[in-house]
Amino acid sequence: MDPEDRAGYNRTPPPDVSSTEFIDYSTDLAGEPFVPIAAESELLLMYFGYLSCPDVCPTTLAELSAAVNLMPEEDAERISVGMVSVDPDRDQGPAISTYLDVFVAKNHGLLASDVASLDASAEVFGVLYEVEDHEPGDTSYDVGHSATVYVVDDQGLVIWELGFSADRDPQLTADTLESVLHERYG
Amino acid sequence: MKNRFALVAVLALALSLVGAACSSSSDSACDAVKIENAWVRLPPGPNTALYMDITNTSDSTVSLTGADSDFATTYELHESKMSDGQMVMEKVPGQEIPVAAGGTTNLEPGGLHVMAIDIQEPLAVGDEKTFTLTFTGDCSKEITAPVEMAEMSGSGG
Repeated sequence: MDPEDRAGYNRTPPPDVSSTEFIDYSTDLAGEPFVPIAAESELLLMYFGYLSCPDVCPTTLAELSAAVNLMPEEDAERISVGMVSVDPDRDQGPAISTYLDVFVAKNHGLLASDVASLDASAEVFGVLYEVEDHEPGDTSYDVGHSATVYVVDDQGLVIWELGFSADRDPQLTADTLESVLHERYG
Repeated sequence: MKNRFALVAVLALALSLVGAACSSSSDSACDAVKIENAWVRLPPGPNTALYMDITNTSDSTVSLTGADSDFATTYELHESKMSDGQMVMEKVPGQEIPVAAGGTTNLEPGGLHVMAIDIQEPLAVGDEKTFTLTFTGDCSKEITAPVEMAEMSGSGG
């Protein structure tokens, strides 16, 4: 695919997110530190959302799921998806991983260690989010969030981004990821 | 004598108007509402969304005012929209989604949807869920919607 035909865009210079850190509940139920850097010669797709989200988050994750399934197996194996919940009051770490399992096998269910850490990481990625004020135990409140997918390489650089689309053809997403993958690693 | 005839005529007219109003609200206005491409998103989380296309072939606006089924605690009409770089979800004002005369309103991912809140039983792809939809004009309709991971190609607009 000609890079001009890709979905999405990139920022110059690419944001370096290797300074951010989360807790990964997919590899360990108790959680272990996770720095968003892809494994060698792979891509890590990072997304910020929340589990109570009935529409936008599953639309994007279903798109990524379909796209990964459309890629040749040897390339699909080089894609993993990390989702950071911006709603730690409702979302338990292991539940984020279970949520992701429905869409993509290679996943990282992520939380920040605290709100200050989440805010600092969000700023590095360029994520905006807002959680409506609520009482402890309240489960009914609104959350707004940037719905962009950040494509991170094995150096921790965001080399491509996919903005939210409700009806992007998953084949276009798959071709875009392959194009980014092969341009980056040959 | 003349007055009495006039009274009877007024009563007859009033009765016929009431009759007309009844039949149009429960039958013809409702018949003019068509639901197509309904589907429920497979929800890995506690909430999910119902999508559909609503067509109104009557000559006046009809509004969706609510939905009900048996697998979640509450059902509300919501809309996702982009606001200052964030996707936000809002309750539809007045809980009414209008469908213009002769028009179609699409409830679709990233936009208008029925939000099913606090799911009580796990859903699986291929399940069929029955919903009762209520519309203005005393109209209610029962529909069946399959559970899908994403919109099936060809079912949308």
